[in-house]
Amino acid sequence: MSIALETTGLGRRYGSTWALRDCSLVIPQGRVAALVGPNGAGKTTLLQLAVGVSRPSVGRVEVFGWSPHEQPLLVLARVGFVAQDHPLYRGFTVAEMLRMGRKLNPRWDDTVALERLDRLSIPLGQRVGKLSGGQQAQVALVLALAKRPELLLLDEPVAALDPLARREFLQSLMDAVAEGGLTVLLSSHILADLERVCDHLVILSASRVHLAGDIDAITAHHRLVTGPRDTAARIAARHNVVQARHSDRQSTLLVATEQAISDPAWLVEVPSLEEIVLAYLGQPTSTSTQPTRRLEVAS
Amino acid sequence: MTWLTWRQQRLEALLGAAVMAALAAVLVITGRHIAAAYDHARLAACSLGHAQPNSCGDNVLHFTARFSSLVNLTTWLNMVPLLIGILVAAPIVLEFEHGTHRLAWTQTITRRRWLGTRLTLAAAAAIAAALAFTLLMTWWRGPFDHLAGRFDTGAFDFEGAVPIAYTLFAASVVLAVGTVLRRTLPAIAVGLVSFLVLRLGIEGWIRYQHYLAPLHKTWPVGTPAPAGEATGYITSNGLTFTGPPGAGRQMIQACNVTYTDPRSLQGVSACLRHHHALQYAIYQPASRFWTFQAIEAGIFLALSLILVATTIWWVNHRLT
Amino acid sequence: MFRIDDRSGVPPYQQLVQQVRQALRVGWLEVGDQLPTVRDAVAQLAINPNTVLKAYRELEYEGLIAGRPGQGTFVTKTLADGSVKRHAALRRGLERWFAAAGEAGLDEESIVALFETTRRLRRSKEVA
Repeated sequence: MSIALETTGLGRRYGSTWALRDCSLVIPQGRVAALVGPNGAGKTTLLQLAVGVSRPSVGRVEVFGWSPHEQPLLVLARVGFVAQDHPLYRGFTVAEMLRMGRKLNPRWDDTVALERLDRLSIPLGQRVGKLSGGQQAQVALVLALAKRPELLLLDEPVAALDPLARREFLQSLMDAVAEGGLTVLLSSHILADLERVCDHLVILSASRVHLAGDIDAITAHHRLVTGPRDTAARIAARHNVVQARHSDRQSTLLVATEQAISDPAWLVEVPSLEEIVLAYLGQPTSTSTQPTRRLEVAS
Repeated sequence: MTWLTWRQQRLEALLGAAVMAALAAVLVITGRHIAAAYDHARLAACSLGHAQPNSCGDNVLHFTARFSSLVNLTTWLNMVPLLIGILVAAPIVLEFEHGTHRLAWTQTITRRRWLGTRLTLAAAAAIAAALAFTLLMTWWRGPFDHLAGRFDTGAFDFEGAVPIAYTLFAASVVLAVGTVLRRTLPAIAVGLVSFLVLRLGIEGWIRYQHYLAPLHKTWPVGTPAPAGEATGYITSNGLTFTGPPGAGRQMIQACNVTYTDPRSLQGVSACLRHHHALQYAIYQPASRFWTFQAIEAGIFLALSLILVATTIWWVNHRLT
Repeated sequence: MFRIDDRSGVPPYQQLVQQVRQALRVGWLEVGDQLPTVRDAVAQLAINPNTVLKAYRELEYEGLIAGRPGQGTFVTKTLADGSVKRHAALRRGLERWFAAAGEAGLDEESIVALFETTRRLRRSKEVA
């Protein structure tokens, strides 16, 4: 298994505030990984550290084995980045944006760019500022893809788009993934699109990683159990409870466990990805009692 | 990267070029008019500080009065270095304001190369525009400088090396403030205020008083002034004399002195000499022009360097 | 042809597998028909290509489809044979059960709740 992105104890501080802390994760090559968490959780910081726009305060980050800070040109030649709000030069025409890409990237492939823009019916002579929000997002994606990257980093790419534009953007993205040779890490605080698009998940909250791993492995290791309130403590003692909800007589627990739950009084189900994510995000911000979960890939 | 920098600054560059072209047109048209009037009145022999034909006094006064309002208007051109500085620095600050620097930094280019190219081209543009401005103004002011020297504020501010230094300073302030705040309008505002404060403050209180100690000289009434006095910068001048206090009033009444231009003293000079009166002046001699230019340009260039160094450090270490 | 329901709680690849099986059962897909290519499915649904590959792999493992190199993925077996009779028997059993439930006093909602609870209990025993 080759690794596209690896971080070891990565942290970034602004003054006395840690935007990201104790971040150690591995994104294997070929994955489409989702970085989820509330606003301010550190998603943008992590992506900026990965591409080299930001420098680590502590720890290491490596992209295909290279450091973005120490070997920037090696990393930038292989990484495509679409920043939040997909910044573009508003006064440029689409053709001029391509020209910029061509001049600044040795691995630029103009035919890829032209073919994608043609398929999306985006005119080359149009000023970028006059395109719709969805079209601008698509142009930003085309610019990143025409570099022929091996790793694509996207910061909230669809947050400001209407549902149709969002769907079209993800179609373009998945089509690029289908071509092969691309690893994707995209951050989002919208959960709905993620399960169909992503096969790897990183949950970030309050500047820390709470969960990371392949979605199949995560789903296989979590269970939603419902049962009588008075025996809830017994279940909690033997299994790792991520989130517990109690009514007068009934408890619902989301547990992360490798062992079977054999108590017949309890109803055991496979939680949806959304339920798992919400349970981890609902954890109290000081997670000192709960060690961060790190589920490795079960390939 | 060169193409990208040009294309991003295209609007500001064209705007600046248009303004400079309009200014040049006005200066050329009026300048030729002035030069023609100067030649017509044969004022070439009338420069201050050495013996002049008798016709000079009235001709010079007439010439000066005729163009005085035009010369006063040129005071507004003190803002030209500020304008050039803003036009040159604003595109870079706008990048930070809109976040498009992250687009550039994630192409296959190092931050150093990006910044280096942008700063170099911006500085080159600023210097070129400021130099053109300096040459134009120096030519335009030719007749006036010839008559009255280059040391006064109306000439000093537009000639020599200082306009380039002013321009680079203005650009550096806007750039540094804009990089830290990532906002263009506040940066321009700070640039405007600091430019005015520094320019007016130095020109009003520091330049003529403190760069080098002014000379204090006296000489007999009616004799030529020391070299470089008339065409230098005079802080104060007039009559002085030795003798008891009351004698001054007596002398003024006795000799019918109404002090205006030193040249008009000729009529009463014999009387004043008789009373042992002396002319005095506290002044900076004209020969110090280039020294002062170097000092003032040095001040503004040093400030520019500090601001640019701050900008570079901030971009490399603090900006994301 | 395919659709993915984000809210069903069923993983996307499994939804695809179920939809193909359903299509085979009902007769919308017959032996020899070509399934959408991975890129077509991805373009239509905006889903991870691996999802499609995984679904096709499972269907291939079940012997229902097969890939022909350079040509595409085709249906090799249908699920429509012989099941009509089995279904008819099951349907009659269901009708009898509905009648019994109605006589026991259950309304529509209670019937659905009973059905769902029993189904979940069955599934939970398998999963645990």
